[in-house]
Amino acid sequence: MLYRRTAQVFVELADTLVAGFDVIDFLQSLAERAVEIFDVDAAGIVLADPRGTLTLVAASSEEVRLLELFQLQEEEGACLDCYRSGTAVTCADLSTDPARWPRFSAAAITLGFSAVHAFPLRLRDQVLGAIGLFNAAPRELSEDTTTVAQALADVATIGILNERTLREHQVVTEQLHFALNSRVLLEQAKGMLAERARIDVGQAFAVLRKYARDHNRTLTSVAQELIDNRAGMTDLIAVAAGKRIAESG
Amino acid sequence: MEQQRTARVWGLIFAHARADGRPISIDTVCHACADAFGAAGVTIALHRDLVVYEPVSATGSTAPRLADLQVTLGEGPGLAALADRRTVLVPDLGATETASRWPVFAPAAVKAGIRSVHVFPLLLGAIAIGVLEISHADNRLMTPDEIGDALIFADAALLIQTHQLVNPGAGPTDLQFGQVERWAEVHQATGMVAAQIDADLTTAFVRLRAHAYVAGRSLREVAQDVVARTLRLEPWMNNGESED
Repeated sequence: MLYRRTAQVFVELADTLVAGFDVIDFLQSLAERAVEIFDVDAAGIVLADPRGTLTLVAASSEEVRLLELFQLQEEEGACLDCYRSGTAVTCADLSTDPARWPRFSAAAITLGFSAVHAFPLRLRDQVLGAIGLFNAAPRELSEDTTTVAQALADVATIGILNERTLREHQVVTEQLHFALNSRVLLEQAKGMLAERARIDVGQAFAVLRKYARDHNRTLTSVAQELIDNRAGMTDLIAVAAGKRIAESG
Repeated sequence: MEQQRTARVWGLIFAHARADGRPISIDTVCHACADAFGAAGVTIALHRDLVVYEPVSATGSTAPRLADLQVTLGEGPGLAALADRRTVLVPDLGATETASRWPVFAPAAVKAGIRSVHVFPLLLGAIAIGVLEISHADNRLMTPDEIGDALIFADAALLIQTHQLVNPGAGPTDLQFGQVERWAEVHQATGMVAAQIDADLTTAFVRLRAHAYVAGRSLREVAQDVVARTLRLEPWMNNGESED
């Protein structure tokens, strides 16, 4: 079952690698699919900013609590250890070893997570970031799951580096910078749409994503158009405002 | 992941300002950057409404020539970085592929004694206000560590420039330096403020920072209030309003 689901997802992701590739779209899909494949409650992808921080680029849900958990890992936690060591870091039950990551574990438990597993995004000797998987209940990952999770992390690496042929570390650095900046642009667009449609930023993300899919567009291109042409995307804003009305009514 | 790199680069910039006995400005970034990389030249050029590429600060013998060439010829790595909003690394201006990309600029730059150029856009999401160009007299490709430092110099130029837009007389202690790119709320709030004041993202970012500064609060705190809708910014008055 695990393999069948995984095979499906790999085919899907391979499709996105071809035409109209958008790194944010790709990593977003990957985070969402990771939740389904591995039967976890949340997944996120952090990348090493060339400036020297570990920053979230995609998460399976836009829940604030999840985003905060990833931000905290800039200082300590499974994703950071995984990034530093370049190897998988797993903790089946955070409550059994509270001294390992005192602040991160406390925050994770408060937010309702018990288990965390992180897999590195690796290119030869360089580590680009990590994919983090969270479970509400304590959970040990099977060997099969671990193998497939690392394969998924490798697919993420390929996706990030997709656009150019790779010969140099410098190019990797540039690609990471580009991916992280694309995420910033998306956050700006979310804010703009949230304000214009009077919805919250999480809803704004859902609307942008659905609009991009329905119109066969990339998330980044829709976000950029919203930002550039402030008077233009009236249908998108109407859809978003409709969402507010539907949910309040 | 400590913030060491950011602190170190800002330390270089502050040390330069102290040595010059002047407040931090775009020139300070330019000079500190040239020293840090032992560069033959460093140029910061801005992209404004009517002028695509306007050099505002330059240091080193090759910098003015590099800027002149791009202004005159309308091609080159700085213009490419502005157009694509991406880092442009040119380790060898004499290489065939470089010459075919910029057929007029590349040979002219080599003739002027420049062999390699690294260009970093002043970029924050969709905010793109200019470029930082670092040139050398020899062929070289910056290491990933150097690229990391250069990105922070570019961030510094962006922060200083957007602050100048709001308060031309500001001194170094007035600026709120930090890793603006770390917090999603800051970017979300920038987008929200742009819609509130009906302005572009650069203006919205300037307003958000100005508000935080005047209120004596961190940019992140103010951004959280905007996202939580406990704070709204109103369109700016023409007569140089006092901040809300």
